[in-house]
Amino acid sequence: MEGKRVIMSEGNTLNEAIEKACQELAIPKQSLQYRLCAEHFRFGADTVKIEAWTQAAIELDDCAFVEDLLKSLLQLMSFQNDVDVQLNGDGIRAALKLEDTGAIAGRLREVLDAMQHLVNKALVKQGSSRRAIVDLEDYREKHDQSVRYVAQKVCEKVLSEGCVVTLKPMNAYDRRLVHLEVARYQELGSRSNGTRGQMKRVQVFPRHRSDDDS
Amino acid sequence: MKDLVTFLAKAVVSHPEAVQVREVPGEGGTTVELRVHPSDMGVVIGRKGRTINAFRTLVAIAAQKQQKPNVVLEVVD
Repeated sequence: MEGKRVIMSEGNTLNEAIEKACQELAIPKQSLQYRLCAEHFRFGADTVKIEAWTQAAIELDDCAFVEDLLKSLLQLMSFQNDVDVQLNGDGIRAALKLEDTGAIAGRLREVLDAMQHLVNKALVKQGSSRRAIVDLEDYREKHDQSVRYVAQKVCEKVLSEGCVVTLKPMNAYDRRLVHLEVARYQELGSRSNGTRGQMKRVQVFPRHRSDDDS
Repeated sequence: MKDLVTFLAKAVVSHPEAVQVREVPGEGGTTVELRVHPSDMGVVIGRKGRTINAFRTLVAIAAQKQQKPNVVLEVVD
C-alpha cells in the first residue's frame, strides 16, 4: 500500500480548502482526513489552511466494508448478529457476536473459515491489500493459544530429552505458529514434513543432531 | 435462500449483473442453481472448489437455521 501522502491546501473557507485538497488527491470527500494548520488559530487569519491526507480513511473504508459484508451475510442467514471490526497491524480482525449458535455447533471452524474465505475474496476484488480474520468472540484466539501451548510443551520435551518430536497434521497457519514458537530457541529447529497437501506435520528436533539444516 | 446465494456470488464476481439464481424444488430438497458470467466461473468455484464449498457451508447453515433441510447448491453453465 502507498505511504501516507500529506498535502497542504488553502481556501477562504474550510469547505473550499477541503474541496481543493480532494481535487489534488483525487479522492471523494468522505475518504479525506485533514487537520487545521497552526496558523489558523492565530487571531484574524483571513484564509483557512489545512493539512490533508487519505490513508487513514482508506483503512477505515476496508473495515467498514468488511463490517457491512458480514452484517448483510449474517442477516441473510437469519442470524441475530453484531460484528466488531478492528484494524490489527496490517490485517483486519472481525469478531462476530451471535445469538443462538446452536445451528453452527460442531461446524464452527468450517463456518468461520467459509466466511473468512468470502471476506478475503471480496477484499481482493476491492483491490485491498489487507486480509481479514473472522472470529466468533475469541474462538480462534483460544485455538491459537492452545497451539502455542502445545508447541511450548514440545520444545521443553525436545530440550530435556534430546529426542525428535513430530506433531499432528496441521494447516499452514497453525504450522506457522509452531515454527515461530520453536524459533525462540536457538538450540531447536523445526521443519514441515509431508506431501504437498493441505495438512503437513511439523517436526521439532535439537539442532546439534541435524547437520544439513539451515 | 435465493437472496443469500445471489449475495455470496455478487460479492466475489467481476460481472455482478450476470449473476442469475434459480431455485428448483425436487423430491429430496431444493436445488439452487447458480449461473455466472463465463469468465467468473473459476472465481465462483475457486481453487480446489474452495469458494463454492465455502458457499455450500454457509448455505447449509442458513438452511438449517431457517429449517429448510437439504438445499443443494450447484454451479450451472
